[in-house]
Amino acid sequence: MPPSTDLLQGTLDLLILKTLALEPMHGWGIANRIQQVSKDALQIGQGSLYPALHRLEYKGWIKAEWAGSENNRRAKFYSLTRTGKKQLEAELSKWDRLTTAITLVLEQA
Amino acid sequence: MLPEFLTRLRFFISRKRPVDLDDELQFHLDQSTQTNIAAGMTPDEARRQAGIAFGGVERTREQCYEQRPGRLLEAVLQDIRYALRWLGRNPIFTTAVITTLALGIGATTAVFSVVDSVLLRPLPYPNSERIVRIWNTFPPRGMTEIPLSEPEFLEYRQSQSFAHVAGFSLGTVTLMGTGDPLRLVASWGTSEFFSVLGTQPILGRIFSAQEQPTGHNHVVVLSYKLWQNQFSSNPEIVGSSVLLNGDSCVVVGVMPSNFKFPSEDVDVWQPLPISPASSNLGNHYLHLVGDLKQQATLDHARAEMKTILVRIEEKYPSYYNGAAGIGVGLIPLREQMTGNVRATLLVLMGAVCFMLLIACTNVSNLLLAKAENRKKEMATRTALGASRWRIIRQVLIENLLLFLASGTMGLLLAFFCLKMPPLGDSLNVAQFGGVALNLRILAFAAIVCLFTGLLFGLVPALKASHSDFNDTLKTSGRNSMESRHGTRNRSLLVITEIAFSLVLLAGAGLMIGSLVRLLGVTLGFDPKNVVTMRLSLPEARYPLGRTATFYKQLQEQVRSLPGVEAVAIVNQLPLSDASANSSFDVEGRAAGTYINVADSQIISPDYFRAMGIPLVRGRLLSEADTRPAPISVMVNQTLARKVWPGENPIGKRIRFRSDAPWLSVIGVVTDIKNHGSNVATKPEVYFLHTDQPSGLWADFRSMTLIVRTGAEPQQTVGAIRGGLKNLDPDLPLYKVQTLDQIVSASVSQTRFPALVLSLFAGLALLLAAVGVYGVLAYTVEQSKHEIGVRMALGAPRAQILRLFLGQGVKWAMLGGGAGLLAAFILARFMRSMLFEVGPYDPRIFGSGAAMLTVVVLMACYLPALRATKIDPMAAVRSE
Repeated sequence: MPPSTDLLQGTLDLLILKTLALEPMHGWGIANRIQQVSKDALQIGQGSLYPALHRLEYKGWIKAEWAGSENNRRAKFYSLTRTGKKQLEAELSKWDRLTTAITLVLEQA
Repeated sequence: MLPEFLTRLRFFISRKRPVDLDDELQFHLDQSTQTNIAAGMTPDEARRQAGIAFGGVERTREQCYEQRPGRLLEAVLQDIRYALRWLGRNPIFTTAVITTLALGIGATTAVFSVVDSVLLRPLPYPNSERIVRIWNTFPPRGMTEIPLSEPEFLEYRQSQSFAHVAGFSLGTVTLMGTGDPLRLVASWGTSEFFSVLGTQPILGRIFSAQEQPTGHNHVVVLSYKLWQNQFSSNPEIVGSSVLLNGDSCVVVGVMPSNFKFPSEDVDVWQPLPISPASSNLGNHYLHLVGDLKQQATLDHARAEMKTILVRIEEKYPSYYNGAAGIGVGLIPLREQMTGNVRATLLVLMGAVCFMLLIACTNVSNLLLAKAENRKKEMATRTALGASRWRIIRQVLIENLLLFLASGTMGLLLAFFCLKMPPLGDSLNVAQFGGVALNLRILAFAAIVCLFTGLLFGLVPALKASHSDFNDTLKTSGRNSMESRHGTRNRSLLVITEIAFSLVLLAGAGLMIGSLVRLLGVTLGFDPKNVVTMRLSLPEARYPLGRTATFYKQLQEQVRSLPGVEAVAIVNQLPLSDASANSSFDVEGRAAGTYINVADSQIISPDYFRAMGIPLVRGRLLSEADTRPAPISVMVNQTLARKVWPGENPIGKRIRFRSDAPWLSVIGVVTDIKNHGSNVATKPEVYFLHTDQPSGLWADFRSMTLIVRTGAEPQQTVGAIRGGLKNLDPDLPLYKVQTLDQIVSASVSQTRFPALVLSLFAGLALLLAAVGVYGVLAYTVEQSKHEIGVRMALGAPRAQILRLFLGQGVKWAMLGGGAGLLAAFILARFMRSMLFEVGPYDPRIFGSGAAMLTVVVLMACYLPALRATKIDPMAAVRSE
């Protein structure tokens, strides 16, 4: 098993939103994309991925549509809604603040 | 936030198809399998690996489903359905809990609604919190609420602390021209009267300052009730004329229905003219009321009024000579209105809270026992994966349902209690706008319900969730290994119940003791077979010269009726609130106000015979004493003792004003309880009713007719009315009451709390007995095995009986001890309600404790007896 990093609470939402900001994607694609981009450091278990997707959908941040996939199978594609885009901005700046603060503490203390 | 909520709402209403999720997850698995095949695995191996990587499909599906909005609500609804089914399957348990709680919540809500209307809700006047009643006081004679004279009012009116100071008096007028003549309660107020209270009329206007000097006969403001009943709510009433006491008066306004000042039965208000030059110091008939200015405090006002009083004393030195110690008393309106009802209500509120606690304790006991029985069910559910929170929620929801059902029943109960007339009458709540179930009371009931539900439902819920399911499931059937902890909890609950019951018993005992003493008081007159009724002669048709003749004729008419033994008149019946005290001078001694004070009664010669008051010395007044001028009076023993201790009062002379003639004392009668059984007898002077001025300020037109009959007196009322019709068809008779009724009503201030407290104490005792019984029966049931072993080893039945009765005695001792302690602490709050009974009366406390012990032992006897009937073989074998 490749090394995996425990995700910070709430970070998964941010990762999903960021990934979907590029293009609509299905669940499998999202998990793969995150894994690839993080160079296998982040592996999203489906046990947390799908509940998170549904939660975001219920919140209205992302929406789902059935469409044909690469290999011509019907798959559920998720894409950002307008609220989702705004939310992504907000989450990103929140993340920036948090990491800056943590970095400061780690350097100074 | 809003878009998010809308999205959630949309998903809440239209669900996703479950098939969607299945397809989505299947797609994921297939993709995973494809990737594995591409990496060189066989299709079967690829599918297997994909499944392993994915993990539990079902678990993921559930987790996705749990994200759904309203998921919690759904679960709660499911819990509620389950709880209802469970409660329905246990009807005895459910009924017991709901009945107990409904009683507790109902009684608490009923008492709280009275407390709310009397003590909490603002009075229905805009300025109500700043309205103050003003009295003179004379502590040396124990007089606290002396009405004021006109010159005193004119001075007090100039106070800077008050925005307005108004004077008013109360009386009756006769309304004619609308069918039968009708007696109305009238209030005469000075021009500031309505400004003090700040209430606006709903029709027309209030009387203006210009109307004051012209006299009160010409304008009138109607009460809502009168306007509704006599004038059918005619909106055109303002400007029309009505006949009051034979005078035509213009209706200028109608007050709203909640305006009930100065008393709840006032029908009309009229202006009270007071001449700025008035110097009538002797007639203390004015009641004063004022509204404090915004920035003025009660203490400031008190200090200022005191300086004004000094000014008055300096202005009229001869009148106030001898009145050293006279003071002024300011009493906030609400305090004045609530008086000693406040203490009664607070005591009842405390008592009812105790009862509620006992009810809750009992229910808590039931719930605990139930939880014990359901241990296995809960263990099974936990084993099947229910979380602890889920179990707690389930039990809490059951308990809250029980408490809600009880709360609803309790509210209904409270509603019916409040409909019963004795409650309102004894506490005189009408003047506060009556008792009604309002939002605040509903909120109160809801809070009581939720609070008790959470508090007493949470412990059993936590207990239910706490069980170690492994252990519970293993101990099949038998669960005698009940922890010491559980037994101690239950014992503690029982002891608490016993303690609370004893507090209530002691309170009820104190009230009953007071009531018995009160009923045992020698009134000094014989109330059997006497009927009384009041009538008022209108001033217009009965000048002073005619009143005596009229009353004489009336008494002769009634005397000739069959069955009548004696007839008399008096201005104030015994036990009525009214008191007319005046200062008098004694011949040969220094003169001055307040040196000698007596209540004055105006009577006809037969008064003492009709009332059954024995003569002690001298002779009775007779018709002969009325002519040529009233020069003879009678006094009671208290006055004779106070003024002429050790001397013969017969032949001594007194007078009520320096410009009035001297009056000789010709006889002394026994003291009677003129002001109520619990008020010490005051000095009394009896005058004959005449049309001659006697130096007394009194209304000679309104009198009470007293008729003593041989048998049931109510039957003669019709004949008396007929006799009156012959004399004057336009005179209404009112306040027709027997003396017995009056006596009975006079003790209602004690009887009502005695009754209610006894009821509460009885219920508490019953609940405690049920609680004791339940817990002991449960203990016996749980220790069947132990008893069986003991018996098998040779313990005699009597010892088993003693064992369990001993448990009862222990509870009674501990609970009784705690209860006595609490009762000793709390009893002093009842001091003002008691009569000739100390708040720590050892006999009452002792008998309460004894009664409680007997009840507890009785409740213990049945389960203990059942314990002795256990068959040792069966008990030991049932392992």
